[in-house]
Amino acid sequence: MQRRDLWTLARRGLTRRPVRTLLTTLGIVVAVASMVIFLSLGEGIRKVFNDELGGIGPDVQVTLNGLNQGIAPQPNLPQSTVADIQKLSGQLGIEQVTPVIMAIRGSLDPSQSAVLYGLPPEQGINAVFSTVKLGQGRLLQAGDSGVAVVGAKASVNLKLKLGSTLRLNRRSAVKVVGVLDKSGGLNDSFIFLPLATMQAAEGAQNRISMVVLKLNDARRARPVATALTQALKLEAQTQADFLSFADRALKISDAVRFGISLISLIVGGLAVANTVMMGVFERTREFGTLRAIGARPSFVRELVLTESLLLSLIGGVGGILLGLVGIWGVNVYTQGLAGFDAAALTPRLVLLALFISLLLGLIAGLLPARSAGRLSINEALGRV
Amino acid sequence: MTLTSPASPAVSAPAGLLQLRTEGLARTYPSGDDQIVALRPFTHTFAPGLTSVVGPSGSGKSTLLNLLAGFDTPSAGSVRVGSTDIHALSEAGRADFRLSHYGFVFQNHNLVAILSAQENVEFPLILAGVPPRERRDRARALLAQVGLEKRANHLPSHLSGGEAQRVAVARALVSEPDVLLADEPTGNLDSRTGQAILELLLSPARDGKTVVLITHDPDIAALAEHHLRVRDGEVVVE
Repeated sequence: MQRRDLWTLARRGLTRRPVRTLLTTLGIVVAVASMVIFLSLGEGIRKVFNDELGGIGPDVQVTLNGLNQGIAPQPNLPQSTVADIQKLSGQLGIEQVTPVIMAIRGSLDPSQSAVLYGLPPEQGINAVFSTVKLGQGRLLQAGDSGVAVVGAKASVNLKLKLGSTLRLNRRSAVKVVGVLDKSGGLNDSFIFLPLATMQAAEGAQNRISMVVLKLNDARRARPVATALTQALKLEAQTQADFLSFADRALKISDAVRFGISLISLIVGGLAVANTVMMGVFERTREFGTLRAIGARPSFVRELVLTESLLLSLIGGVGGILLGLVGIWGVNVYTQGLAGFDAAALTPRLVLLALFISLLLGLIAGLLPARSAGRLSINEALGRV
Repeated sequence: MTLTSPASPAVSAPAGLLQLRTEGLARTYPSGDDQIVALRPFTHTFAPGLTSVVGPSGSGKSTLLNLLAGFDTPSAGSVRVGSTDIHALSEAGRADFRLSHYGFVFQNHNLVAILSAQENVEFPLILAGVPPRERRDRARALLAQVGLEKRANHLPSHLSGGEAQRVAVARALVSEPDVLLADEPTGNLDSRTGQAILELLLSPARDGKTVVLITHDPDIAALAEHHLRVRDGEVVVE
């Protein structure tokens, strides 16, 4: 028996009940597509981090509690920390010390959300984000107060143009003096403010979220971070720490999203098992005949398993294609929202989806295949 | 005369063909504390040619055929084809043996619904791993022999009962078996179509193969050279 003959028989077996096969396949298509879309979100965000963090991240950043607070820590670090670090600058090879205060401007409408980023205007945005380019107006400069420079996407979403007024809260407002060029990164959704302006707006005088450091030699980031942690009893992280934190967070998020999609995968798997099992029941006599004329039990098992695998493979490929459409939809939305593609279909995700589909087919087909292989010829032929 | 003892008259198969023999073949089924005897010990050497097996319903004809085919396991005794005790083989080994040495024709044609007439005939050769071109040629030749070469690409659902049974006969003969077992092959057919099927089964019998035919019909049984009658589980050679 050649493998090709087995696949041909399996294909014919599935086309015997085309509507049932189609509906089962659609069930798998939807299950795999939902898994692909869910997991593609992690892939997209991971890609954004990996591609762009080098351009936006400091060599070392010092916070009170490390990265456990996420990417926008609360302003709970005393500003005196800046002076403490500056005292160690020469000894540790620190070129620049920049205090930063961050806040998330939230909204029920995600497109109206933005990250507020306060830093000393005399140091400028490029002190932290070396790759940003000015689109219109001007960047922050020494002596600035009550002004803002907005990222390209924040400018579009919040309808902020040069000269627009941005209300930070009921008490304070700032005037937009500059709009950045689109960078395609996360900082497109940032709004940059003078440190003192933002501290006042947040009611966080003399407090900051973190201190970001630029080193003479970026390769010494790890020992410098360790030394600072020991000297100041604060948390100092490197870019690698941040990437590792982001990756860890994404992995947890992947696991959660995979867990959610697992539900639909299980439902899809049960549909396959049901279809294949019904096929086995309907074809009991046929399997009995095949066994009578010389088919081994293993042949019948393989035939049923191949049908199950074929069904799930078609469903898997269909699911990836439907997932691609879903990813496109997600990216259209996130491009409009924040200027980057949140979802990505990577080769490893394609392989994972195919692997999961085949595994689903294998598991769903095992029981029906076992039943078919154990059929008594007499009983199957109705000869008892 | 019963054939539990002594042994049946010595018969021998033509050169190259394997002989079908039973030795003390018996089948009982447990029923509570009792044993139901479906087949009493039966020793017989099937002579080449057509052997009819007749008997009323429930007499044990099908039990005999199931044991001869290896579909069922005997409570005692053996079935030998040539020197091979088929019940001593593993399940897979028995399947391989059936593929190489047996042909079956059932009361219903039992064709695979998703395969064309030709593919059904080819099927045993597919299982045996015969190359596609050779198996197609052999299947076409047999379909021509049963007068169905023009129906080769039709599905069983598009064939009449008689045509489907002729395809089933072609399938049984395609691997050139030593033993052909037929269970009421004309039971669902009109007499004219049934006659045509019998002609097809007589052909291998004339070639010296062992053909065992179960039937209710005395006219059909009369066509056989050798006769067995089964009554209450006891097989009698007539």
